[in-house]
Amino acid sequence: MARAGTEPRDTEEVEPLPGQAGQGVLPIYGRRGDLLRFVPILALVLFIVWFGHAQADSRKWLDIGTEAMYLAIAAAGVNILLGYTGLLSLGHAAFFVAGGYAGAILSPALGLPPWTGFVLAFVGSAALGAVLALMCCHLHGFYLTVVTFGFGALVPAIVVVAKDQLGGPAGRAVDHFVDTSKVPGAGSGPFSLQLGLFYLSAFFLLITLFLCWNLVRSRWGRAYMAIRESEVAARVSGVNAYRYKVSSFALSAGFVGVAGWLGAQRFVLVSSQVATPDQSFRYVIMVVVGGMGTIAGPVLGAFGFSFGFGIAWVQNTFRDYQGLLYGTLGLIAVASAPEGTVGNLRRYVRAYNVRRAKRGAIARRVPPPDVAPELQRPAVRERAAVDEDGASEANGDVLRVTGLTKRFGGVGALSDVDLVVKRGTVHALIGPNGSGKTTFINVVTGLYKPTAGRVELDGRSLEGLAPAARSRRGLARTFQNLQVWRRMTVLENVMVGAHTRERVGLLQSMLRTPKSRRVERHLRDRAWGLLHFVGLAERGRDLAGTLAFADMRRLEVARGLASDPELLCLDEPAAGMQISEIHELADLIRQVRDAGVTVLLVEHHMDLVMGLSDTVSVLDYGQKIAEGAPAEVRNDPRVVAAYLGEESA
Amino acid sequence: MTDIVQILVSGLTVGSVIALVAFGYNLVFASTRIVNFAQGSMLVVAGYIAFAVARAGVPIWGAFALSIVASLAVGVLVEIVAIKPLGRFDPSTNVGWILTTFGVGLIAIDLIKKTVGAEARRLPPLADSIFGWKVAKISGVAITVPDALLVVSALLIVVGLELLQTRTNLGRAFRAVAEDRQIAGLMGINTELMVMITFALAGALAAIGAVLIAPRQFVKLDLGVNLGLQAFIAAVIGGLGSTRGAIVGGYVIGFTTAIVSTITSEGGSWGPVVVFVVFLMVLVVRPAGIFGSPAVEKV
Repeated sequence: MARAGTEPRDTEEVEPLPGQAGQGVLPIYGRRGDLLRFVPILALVLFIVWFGHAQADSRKWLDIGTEAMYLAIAAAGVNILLGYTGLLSLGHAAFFVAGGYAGAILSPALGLPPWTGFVLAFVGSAALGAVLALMCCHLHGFYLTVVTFGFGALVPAIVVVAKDQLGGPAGRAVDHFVDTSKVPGAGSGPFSLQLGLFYLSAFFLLITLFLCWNLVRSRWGRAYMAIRESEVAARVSGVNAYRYKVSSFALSAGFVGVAGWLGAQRFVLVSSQVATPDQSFRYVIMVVVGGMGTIAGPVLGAFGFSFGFGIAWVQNTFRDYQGLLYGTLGLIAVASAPEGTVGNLRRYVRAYNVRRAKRGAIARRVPPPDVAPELQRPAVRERAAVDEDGASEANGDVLRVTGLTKRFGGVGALSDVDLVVKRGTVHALIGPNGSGKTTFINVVTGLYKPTAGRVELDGRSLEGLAPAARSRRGLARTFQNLQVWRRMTVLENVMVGAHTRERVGLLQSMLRTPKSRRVERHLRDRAWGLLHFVGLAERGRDLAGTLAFADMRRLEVARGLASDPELLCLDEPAAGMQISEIHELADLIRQVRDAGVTVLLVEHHMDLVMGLSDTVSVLDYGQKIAEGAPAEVRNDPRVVAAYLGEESA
Repeated sequence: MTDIVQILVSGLTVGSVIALVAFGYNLVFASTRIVNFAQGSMLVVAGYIAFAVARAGVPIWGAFALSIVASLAVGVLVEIVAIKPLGRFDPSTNVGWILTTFGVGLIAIDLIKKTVGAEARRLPPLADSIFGWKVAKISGVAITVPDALLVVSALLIVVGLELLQTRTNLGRAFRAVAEDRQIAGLMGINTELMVMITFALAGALAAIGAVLIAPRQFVKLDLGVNLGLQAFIAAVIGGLGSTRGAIVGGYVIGFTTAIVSTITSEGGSWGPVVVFVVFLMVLVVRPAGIFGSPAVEKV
């Protein structure tokens, strides 16, 4: 759909958002494009090779280099949870220790070859993380941090309780369980063990980064980010937030566990001494200083701290006062540079490219791919099974609500509401402020539990289903107070909207297998098609937070449509719009209906409602007081009374 | 019988110690929705201030008073360093304050280490005897004056704080600021001042706690980590922001630890594990704690 009269607005003038920059934000890389993305990773590889050669005779620097590598792995793990999923853990040092025990003690004890210790280190830590996460991921905000904090501080008690196995506070010595002098490139010098360990750690870091890179550009990574940006929107878009948070937690614990395995090899000791809240705090500070939610950030942060400590002056000054150093850096980072080093670098590059774009040296935007505007219908999904018994198509009702009641304490927000939405119609739900319209949508989409009553979609009860499961069944919605995922691109927003349309495993995503590529391509094509449909394709690569108000509403519509819903609930889509924008919105809603998607429209704006709806239902004080064609309802005395007061009627 | 009395006495005193520290977390949370992770460090700082003053020859009551005054200032300082620079923010979504308060706590401990040294210090009790009464024995379990003082003061502080929060203008202002800072500001409350006062009071509470606890525990650098964490768990079990919750949470931990250490041979190390399990169970059943009100999700 071409949108006449709306020029794409300039992204560049918009205030930069706090926090990390999203992927694919242009113009970062300019015209030379994606090749520049590989410069950092190339630089890292060159650095590793150079360091190994240059410092082969320095035991001190080899140790520091090894530490830098495994701390970077740990920081990358913490970043999955903190930077991408938005959850702060102050207990991750415990997983470092757990990885050490699992990989360096349990694994050899089971007779597994020493080289494979990392597998148990990862699996053991991830399992422990999953157990903890299962118990705390239902908690809101910082309560999760509280639990992790308590958990981290528990480790010293556990090693004492199980001192026969774990060796008590002193820990357990381990052999050089991996003969690192056999690592390619370790040579036969006096420190070949250390050099080999350095290369081994560097190898695992590269693997970690590869997996993380793929992860954040996959269906899983985007779901994490959506949870970070707005959990409620993620849930109604089909993301089972609890499950994804648990997986993110486990994954991040697993990477920290691998770091712990490498650490055990370096110290030839597994000890709980490092599992203090201070240490967990250090991981977090590395991530924050380097740049949350970026791949390079945690690596830079870990390198900065490790190599920085190699400098004699720093070491002498702060050896006993690390809290002072980390605390101060934390204060500075949080208060004055929340985007971290990488985020700030990106901002400079972007500003530079914006200047060049203004001079005309580079294109202002990379144009969107030429995909046909689309709205695929009908989808073949699990609900097709229902169609076989003829229940849904026969009666032609998409949504059937009976006796719906919702009370908050003593206040009745909805009482005994019956509502039937016919397939292929625009059904408006109107009523004065506080009459229960939004509550109605919240109950239907599963965000609120009804006090009584029944909600059926396509003839099947939705009772007890979480919002994500209802999305899978064919429900989608937009929000009155916009809930776009601001620090994701417009395209990514829509791709998460299509979350339920494809499935791909976490491991497949991280390895970027052919199947995962195929899924990515499908999601991407569909998202571009929908962006063309709502007229936002031009802005596809911009951060959603930079969109104008009316465009954010379009984006929410596209996101809702991406799941290919039976019923799309629009919660006051015209609120705050100008007249011209409302007309465009009306066109859009008509097109949606013509494509076969039933629309439930909650709206104040009478012109929009009357001109667009097939049926209008009116709520007042939580009760349905009228229903019918727009013209009938308009003249219903009870409706007039509800809107204008008794005397007017 | 001895065991039961032992559990009662130990549970009450340990619970009170924990509650005394937990009050600080609560007071700050009740008016800002922030958990001050530096609270444990403020306790340590107050303890060392009292020690430094007492070492200079000032009687313990004088040291106590001076420590309270100094800790008011410490609280304000923490607020200025850790909270002020964050500007306006929503504590429930933007968790930068966790890092800043935690960071300030680390800095404070290192500064003490640098200036006073890392040794553990002993403070004399506020009173050895009350009207000549020194110690009572029930079934062979000694109850000392400092212990009694501890338990009674903890209860008095609960009453005092509850009165402050519900019966005074200052307390009402705290609660208004907690509920909605912007609207509280529009109603003429100086919200920044309220936050600062809260931190100052939290500092004073830390000083009271430090001096009352000192006869049982040395003043030492890791006091903040060990005791601070337990207090923190107590505050969460009881419901953050609720003063009576803090003391109930303290007792829960105190009695749990006492019972566990009575029935197991290595009680000292099993205690924290059991406490953590209790903590998790409370959070699963009542995510906002025993006396807390659950957060309402707005859509």
